[in-house]
Amino acid sequence: MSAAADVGSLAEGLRRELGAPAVEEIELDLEGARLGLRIAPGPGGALGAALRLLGEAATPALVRGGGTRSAFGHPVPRARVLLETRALLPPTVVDDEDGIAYLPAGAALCDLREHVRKVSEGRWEIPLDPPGDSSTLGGCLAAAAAGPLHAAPRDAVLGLDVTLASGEPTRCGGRVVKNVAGYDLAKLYVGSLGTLGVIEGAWLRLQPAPEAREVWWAPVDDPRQALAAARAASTRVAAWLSREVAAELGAELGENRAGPALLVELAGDAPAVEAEARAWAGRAGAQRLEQGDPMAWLRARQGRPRGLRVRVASLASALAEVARILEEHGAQVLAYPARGELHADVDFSPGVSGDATVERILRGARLAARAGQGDFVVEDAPLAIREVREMFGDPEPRLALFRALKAQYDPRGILNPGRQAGRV
Amino acid sequence: MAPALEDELRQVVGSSHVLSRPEELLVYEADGLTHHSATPRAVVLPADKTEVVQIVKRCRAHGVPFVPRGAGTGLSGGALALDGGVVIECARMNRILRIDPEDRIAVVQPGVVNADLSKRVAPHGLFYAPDPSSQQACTLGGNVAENSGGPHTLKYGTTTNHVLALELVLPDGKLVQLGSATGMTVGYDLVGAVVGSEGTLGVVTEATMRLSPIPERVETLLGIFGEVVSACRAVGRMIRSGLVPAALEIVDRRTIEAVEASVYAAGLPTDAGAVLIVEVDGPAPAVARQVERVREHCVAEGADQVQVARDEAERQRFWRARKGAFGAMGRLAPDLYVHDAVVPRRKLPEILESICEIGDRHGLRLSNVFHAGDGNLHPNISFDRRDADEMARVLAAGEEILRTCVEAGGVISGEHGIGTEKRDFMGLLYSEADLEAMKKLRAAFDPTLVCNPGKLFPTTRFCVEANPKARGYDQVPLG
Amino acid sequence: MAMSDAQGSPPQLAELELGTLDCVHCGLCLSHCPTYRVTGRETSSPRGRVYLMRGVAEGRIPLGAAVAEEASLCLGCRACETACPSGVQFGSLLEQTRAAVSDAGLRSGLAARLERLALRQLVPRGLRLHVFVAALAWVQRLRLDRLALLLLPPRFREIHALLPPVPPVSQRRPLPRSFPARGEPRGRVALFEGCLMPELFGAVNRATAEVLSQQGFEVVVPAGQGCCGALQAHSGDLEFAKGLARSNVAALAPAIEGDAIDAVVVNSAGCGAVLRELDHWLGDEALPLAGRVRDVCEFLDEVGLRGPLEPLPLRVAYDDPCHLVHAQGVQEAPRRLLEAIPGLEIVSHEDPSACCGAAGTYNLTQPEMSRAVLTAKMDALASVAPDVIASGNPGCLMQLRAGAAERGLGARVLHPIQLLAQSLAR
Repeated sequence: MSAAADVGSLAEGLRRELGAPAVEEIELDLEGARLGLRIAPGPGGALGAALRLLGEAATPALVRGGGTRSAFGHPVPRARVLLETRALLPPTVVDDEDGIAYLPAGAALCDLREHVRKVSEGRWEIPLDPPGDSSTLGGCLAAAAAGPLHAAPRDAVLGLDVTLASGEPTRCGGRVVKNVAGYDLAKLYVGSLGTLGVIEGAWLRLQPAPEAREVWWAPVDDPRQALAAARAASTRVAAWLSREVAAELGAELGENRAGPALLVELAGDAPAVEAEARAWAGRAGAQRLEQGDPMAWLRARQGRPRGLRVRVASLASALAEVARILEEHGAQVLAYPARGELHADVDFSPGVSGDATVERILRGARLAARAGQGDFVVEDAPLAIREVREMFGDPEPRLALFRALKAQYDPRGILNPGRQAGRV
Repeated sequence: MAPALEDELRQVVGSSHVLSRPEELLVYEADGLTHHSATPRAVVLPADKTEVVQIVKRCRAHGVPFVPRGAGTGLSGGALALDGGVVIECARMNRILRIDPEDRIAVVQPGVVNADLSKRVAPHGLFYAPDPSSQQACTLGGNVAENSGGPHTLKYGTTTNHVLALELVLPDGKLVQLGSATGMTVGYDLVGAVVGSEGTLGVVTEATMRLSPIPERVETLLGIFGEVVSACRAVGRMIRSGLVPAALEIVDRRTIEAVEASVYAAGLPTDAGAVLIVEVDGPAPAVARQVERVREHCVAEGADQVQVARDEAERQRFWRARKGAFGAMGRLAPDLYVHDAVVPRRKLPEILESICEIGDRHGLRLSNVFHAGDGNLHPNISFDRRDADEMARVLAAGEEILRTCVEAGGVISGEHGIGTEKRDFMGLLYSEADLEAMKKLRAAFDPTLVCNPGKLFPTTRFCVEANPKARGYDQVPLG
Repeated sequence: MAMSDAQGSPPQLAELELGTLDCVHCGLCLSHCPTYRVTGRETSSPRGRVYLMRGVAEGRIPLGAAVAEEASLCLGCRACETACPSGVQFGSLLEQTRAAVSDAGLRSGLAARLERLALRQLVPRGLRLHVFVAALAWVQRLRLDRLALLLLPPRFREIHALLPPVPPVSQRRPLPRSFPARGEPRGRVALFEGCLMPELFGAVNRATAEVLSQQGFEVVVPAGQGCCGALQAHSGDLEFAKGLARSNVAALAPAIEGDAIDAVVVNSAGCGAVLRELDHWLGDEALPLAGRVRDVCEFLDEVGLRGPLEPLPLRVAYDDPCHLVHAQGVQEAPRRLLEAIPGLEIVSHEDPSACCGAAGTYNLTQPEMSRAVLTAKMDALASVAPDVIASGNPGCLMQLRAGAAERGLGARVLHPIQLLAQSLAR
């Protein structure tokens, strides 16, 4: 039986509510799911109606933005409908007097960044890193996607419009920069991987564009030595690149670079950046990078699927040890010392690489997380692996709460069921 | 039947740590919001988490609700024990369990006083950034519950930006660890959900806090203005220009007079209409530049004078004066109602005018001392709760102020929380569905509603008529 | 039980209520309160105690055992006043409450009766006190006290530990009635001797007079002065205390009349606090005296030291007496004086302005709490390992001395004026 047949009667109802162009019958195997219907509802009533119908039919949906982070989380085999968020485009507001903006979840974050820059005449920036060109704002928030510049999307969100699984439109937070009126539900939705509700739009706190910006490169063997530099006052980003990653960047810049290195962006008030730059200039082997945009490269690299990638959090004091463990287990390491975050990549091609490779990096991640008193998640892995393995460290101690939340917000399990930690 | 629970509690914590005489219970009837009160059934002071677990289990077995309490400096009635509940007073759990200077974290028990943490980590060149005005008394457990702010949240964020991990006794008595010392979230962000939940999701027994490096240079400026409105405009200019000072505070004339009569007198000019306290911090070269920019913005909005604190001692005096302001208002009348609302910053001048008009129209003594940089207003109304007529006017004015702020795109609390104080005003801000979404979170943690019941959610239908404008983007028409 | 619903007299309560209205419940006092810090109980905090007082005054709760216990558990250190932005006069409220508790017959135990007996019949009676201390000296010399300890209940051990060795007779002789101004004369002051000071801390009184004299001040020691009444008032015997205060006003009046003196110099913080606020008790008649009272360190700091000062290579921890820092607002003066001594280094310990737990007779009436408070103080002091612990109040000197001895700290415990006297000796 075809996937479309499963959803035949549902399709009719959806067409009635959303209009025919927003509903398309498909035959698509994605994320372990056999999808028979693709819908792209608009904001407000349309999205609500769509979710209501899905609920009534008890038909789960795979919710998807730009798809750049679709390999993060467990597969959603029960889904029959692909719910695309690209039409969730409520009107945009950029308040450049207050440094805030209301932005639509369905729009590409890259476009939104450009829009804000233009409207505010270059004075404000969106403090979020898009993992890829097509990444949507909603997707970035749902996946809590961290990039080189911004680790925690949660801190940028002032308020959210979220349509719950019941189809009810809800709001949390607001447009003001400080708010404790009621529970901080935005924290819950950000990083929920679309399992609790569908984000339609978000009030974000913008950040002033830095007056000056310079990127520096310096050979640094040990990620721990990179820590002090990463914590210097005007440093906006400091990334430590293991040997292979450094070589990759070298190739990108058309230069030959050997050995682990630190890549630093100084940003902020011009006098502070100048002072910091002078300190860098005195450092052996340090060099200012004046061409290309190494930070954009870093962002793109982080967004690009590698086949197998884990993110490990570590205390600063354990960075070197954690990096060593990860390298020992076959990974190329990229670390952000100031925030204790390490990305470990293993090139993995299904069919070619074997189970032992997976086994090895997962063991490494677990050891590393323990050494760093932190945690780990698998951010990218082939479907077959995600089908059988837990992608979120050890969720067991919190699983009861996770399940209780899912049961409260999505009792019929229609939104990305199983994708979250512990297959919630 | 009745005394059985108290006896069990005495067995858990020892009899000197259970209070149940009427006189003892009387002093627990209110927190910093004196005109709301409720007498608890008992007060119990655990020494550690195992005792908290036992207390929660015993209360639950008896079907008696409970409420965690820190120092009782909250301003929204959040620590009141409604429905004959038990107060779990965390003041004895006041140990700093670990300070890790290199990793810049501290693990604390909930009863640690906010200011004590900064004091203890100062020798390592670190501090704990959120600094509510009550920081010399309030506890970190209370800060977590209320997601407390303070003057320096403008640059550094509120409590939620500084809590990495929590240990929580769930309302069923289970102990869970949320988050990790590295701050990484795996699965749902439960730490983010618990911070600011006003003690309704469980009892925090340990918290891992992020520490920040003490900036290389700090300068504190006083912009002295003839009118509070011009001080507000100066704030607008700074925000618009992308300047992010560490703090931007406005103190109006009435407040200056009260503070200058108190032990916290700092030499603020009592003939000024308002003083704008601006603090800038960071690398020395940047700070020097920012000082000049702040000065220019103040002068452009008509400041009579801009002073820079001469030394660290004077800086400290300014801040002590700012933070003692609430208490100093006790000089004007027996009671003080400290309001708390937030508006978009660009709206500050007009909102402030409306608020003063509301105060005058109700014949009240109203003063303003607030976190201007965040748009976080604190209209303070001095009154005497024994005067029923005045009390009624205070409440009426308070409601009008909240409505005015919400209509301007603001919210009804920026840092004090909802508690009992504003639970019936939640409908001004949220639709039924919005509140239902919050109740789902509550139900996931506390399905039987034994943990701090009666807070946060509306109790009457009186105010809750769904607000049709309570949606995000269709509420936008703003300037 | 019969007492449990006792109430104070209406005017007493009205006055009490008025005082409590200054409190807006902000809570800034909490962490400054030693008993709150030990117990974590709101009831044992200044804000809680004010709430209890207001509750009694408004008739919401009876003036009963619970209130009496809290009134008695309070150290009366008044650290809360230093922290209070609203200006609550806590010391005065506490005094009124204790008087009401006492009037209501809520302090009727044997210990309370013994305390009152001692505070009425022994402490303020110069001759009896002198004889008592002389007898004590013999007991100590013959080590009879050790013998007695074996027979007495453990509680007396605490009391015994606090009693300093009685100084030799030479230090207990009465001071001369006057000391001349040496060098270029700078003025004239009256010295307030106190009751226990001459008996147990005669050396401090002598050092005070000598330093003042050496600095160019003529010092008169008016006859007829006596106990200031602080201890009696703290224990709720307010009327008796006022009687003592009146006789001091009378004894010092001749010296004060016609602006013949620049100041009444006091070296005991507890006495100074009472004398300075005497108008609270006696009204305007006490103003001429109250207005002239200066702590010795405060006075010397105001007029400026006249050198030369000899070096004292010592590490000194200065611990603020509550009734100097909180009740009189004198905090920097003693530190400045000590810092003026060459070679002397002030080492800073944590919370120097927190109570040591002496608090008049508190260490006798509330030994447990007093010990808890003292432990925190000794922890702070031990961590800086000073050569000398300096503090300007007899109760604190006794308490700190006992604490240091128990900890085995080598530090000497001295009044700051003794260090000054030593440095100015030549």
